[in-house]
Amino acid sequence: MTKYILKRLLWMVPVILGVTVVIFFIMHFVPGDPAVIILGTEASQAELQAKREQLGLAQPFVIQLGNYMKQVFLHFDFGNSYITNNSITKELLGRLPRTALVGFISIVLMLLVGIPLGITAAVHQNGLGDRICMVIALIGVSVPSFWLGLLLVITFSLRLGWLPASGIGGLQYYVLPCIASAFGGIAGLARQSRSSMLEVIRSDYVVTARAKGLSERKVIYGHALPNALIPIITVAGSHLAHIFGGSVVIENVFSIPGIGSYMVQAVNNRDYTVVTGSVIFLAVVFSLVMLLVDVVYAFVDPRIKAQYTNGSRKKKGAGT
Amino acid sequence: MKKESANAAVIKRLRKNKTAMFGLFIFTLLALSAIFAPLLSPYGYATLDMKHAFQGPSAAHWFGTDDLGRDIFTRILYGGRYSLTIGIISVSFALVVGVVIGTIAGYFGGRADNLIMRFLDIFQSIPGLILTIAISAALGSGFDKTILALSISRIPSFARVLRASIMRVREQEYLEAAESIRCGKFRIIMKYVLPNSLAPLIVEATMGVANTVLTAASLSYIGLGVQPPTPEWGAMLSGAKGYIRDYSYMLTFPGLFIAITVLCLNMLGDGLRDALDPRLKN
Amino acid sequence: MSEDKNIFLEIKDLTVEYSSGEETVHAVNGVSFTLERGKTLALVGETGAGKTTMAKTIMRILPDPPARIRGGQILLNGEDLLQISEAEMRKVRGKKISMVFQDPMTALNPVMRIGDQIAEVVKNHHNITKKEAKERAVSMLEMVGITSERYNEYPHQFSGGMKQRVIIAIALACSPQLLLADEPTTALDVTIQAQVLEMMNDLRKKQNTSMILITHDLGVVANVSDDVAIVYAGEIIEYGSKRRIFQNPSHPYTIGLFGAIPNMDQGTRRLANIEGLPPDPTHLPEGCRFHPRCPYAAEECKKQAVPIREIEAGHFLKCTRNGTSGKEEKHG
Repeated sequence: MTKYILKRLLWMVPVILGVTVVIFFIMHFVPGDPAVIILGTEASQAELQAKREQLGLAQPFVIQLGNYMKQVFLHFDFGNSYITNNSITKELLGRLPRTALVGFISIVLMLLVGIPLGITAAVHQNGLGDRICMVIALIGVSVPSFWLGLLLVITFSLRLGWLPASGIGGLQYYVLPCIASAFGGIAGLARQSRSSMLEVIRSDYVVTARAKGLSERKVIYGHALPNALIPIITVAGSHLAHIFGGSVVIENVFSIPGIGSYMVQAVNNRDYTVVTGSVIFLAVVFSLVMLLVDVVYAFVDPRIKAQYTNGSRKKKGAGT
Repeated sequence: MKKESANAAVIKRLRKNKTAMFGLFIFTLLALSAIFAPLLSPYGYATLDMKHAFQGPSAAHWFGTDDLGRDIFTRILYGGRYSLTIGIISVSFALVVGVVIGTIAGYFGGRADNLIMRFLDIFQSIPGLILTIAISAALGSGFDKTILALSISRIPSFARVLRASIMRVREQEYLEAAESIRCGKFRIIMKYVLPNSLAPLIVEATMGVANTVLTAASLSYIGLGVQPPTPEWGAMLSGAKGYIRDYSYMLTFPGLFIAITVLCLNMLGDGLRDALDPRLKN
Repeated sequence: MSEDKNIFLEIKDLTVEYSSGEETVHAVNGVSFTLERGKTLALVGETGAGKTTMAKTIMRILPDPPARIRGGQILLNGEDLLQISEAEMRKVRGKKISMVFQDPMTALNPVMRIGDQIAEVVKNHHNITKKEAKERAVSMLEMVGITSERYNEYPHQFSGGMKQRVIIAIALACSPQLLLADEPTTALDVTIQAQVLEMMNDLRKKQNTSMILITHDLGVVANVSDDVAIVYAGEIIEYGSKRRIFQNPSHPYTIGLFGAIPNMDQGTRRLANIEGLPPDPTHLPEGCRFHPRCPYAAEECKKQAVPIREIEAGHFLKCTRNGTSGKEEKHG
């Protein structure tokens, strides 16, 4: 298993390098001249040119890219913000706990509420509870999370005054943001869990289990569920991507000083080193989380575990 | 026994699905109301009327007026034009490019496939909305640029779905038969491979439009995408968020319409998925 | 039917249908037969004739809905299985009656070790420790020809034939009275079909387990069965000992089945086949279900249901004709 983890970590390296190149390339096209942003529109051409050279912007693209990559990967330095001249790395690390907390709680909610809901709906297929849950889930995946956040603020902060509308502090500041962030994921995962479970329940090995005379409980939770979890975990991974992305907007709605809002402010200010650094940072965090998902996946499915603990990497298990 | 073409069977199953048909019906209503907006409302979407600003829903203004006295109902109708167009055009563009890339990767395999998959891996390591924000920031805000940014973000998932589909179809024996009679590769692709691979992509595309509408609204909300005074629904929410305390009604309708649009598309997408799945769900 | 005290299973007038919306599939229509301890009954017929439904009904593992048992009795040692509660039925499944299914590739739980899958059925029906259940599982594995070292492996590590052996081990682990085998070797390579069939037969004989073997392969029937029942459109149209059926096939359908076997001794001729297709189970023909395809169909065959008659000792036929010896008349 450790071999598998190491292999995946190694695999992450070229991907992250690739991400850096791609993002750097994209951000190179951001309209606006950083020199003007920093010095203002009153500055003279000479001053602007000097500033550009100081920032390393006068050099060819490839050199800039090379310098940037050296800076990020050898020194873990994302540079300084054009606007504030503060260290981006420091700022990212400082803001990480808040983004991570919202993200973590959302993920936990998604897993602990979404999956059981979907599975229960599947086991009681076409019952009243099933239909109601699925209608709510369908609405849940359709509602924009930031709008839901706004509605929650209107209801629970402004009208009822139960919970704060913005900012951070104690646990009560995280209730509404996490609900808004997780709701779509809970709904999506519930739907997916239900369909996955329904499919597995129709499998031949479930019939075999029943033919053994096992109690229905054992059949569902001992045989069907472990198999249904495999595709569910895969889908949970893609919902994680939504939670990561959605955090950007949620932080905006609830004025949470996290990485997402840092990035959005930077976009509005044309502070493109901050944007580049934020995206790379988030991509790294996201990749590590997905690695975790893959490890869980390998644990749950012995077929995958076998492929990777045997050293050789086969596409599908070969059997005679 | 009656013979039914596979496509006719799919459409018949789809028609039977009440939820999907309901979704299609409401979506059509939305689309029509967007197209015929000028006929449905006496107001212009940019007509200022400061005297009647900040009014809640009433007989004269069904959804009320905003901070500049504009009729919200009218703006919602016109906003539909932006949201729906952005959704449909982005996805169409991404479909074409995605199909080409997916076909090359799936059908020809080998090094081209490897290279393309590495690229797709890189793009999928960046969470969707964040990638879109980066591309949108690079291209700038505005209607066409937003469409382009959204298309680019969607290409990887279409390419992947089609590639998987093609790889499955490629194993089929009728392709061997076609190749053995010296049928040209392009013809094989167009006549045999693609038509049989498109099913999962159709579902993905429908869900794609839903997601794109959501993403476009999110972009507009945070200051990218389409900006006020354009009546795009996300932009309307962005403009209204400052008034959340005193005039919260302004936030209700744009979000509601985003939700309804996405809901209809999801219903339709679910229905398509069930109709295209040869194994019946019951 | 003989008064033999060895009869432990009696099926009386079993009728099962599937209803999906507008259409009703008449899968099993008034089937009756008996089975003695230690004997094998072969259920022979084409796909869709209702054989699998019959077997699944005996186990009561039909999906309900859409399947519905409309009538009849299944008497196991005198007790009607269709009347007992689900909890009591669970005690029967795996212990008194067990089943081997057709497709071994999908019949085992992919994420559970195969040894545990055998031990599970033992532990479920006996009040023993985990360790004891495991020991029993190991001995079952060895009985089906798999080394005990493979106890901890997963299904994907086994070939089709080996998987089927595991499934047989699971089915026979609790020494059931009855084994239902639904085309157990059809999905396997021809070269191992005989092996697996022989192993299964040896084991069940040792345990004195009776078997209902569903097959469409007359060669298998000849090898392994004691009695034969020919199934057509959910009915048993001919029934008797293997000897009688092979020597004196009497129903036109049975004659057709035997006529379709290539004969090595005769010169090469076209294979005889039966005209037409099996009937649509949602719209079964009136009267005798076979009459649209029967070369001897008379007016009375189209009108009323045909009664079962005993044409020789222990040889039953559902036909209006008198059961002329099949050897003389071949058609096709």
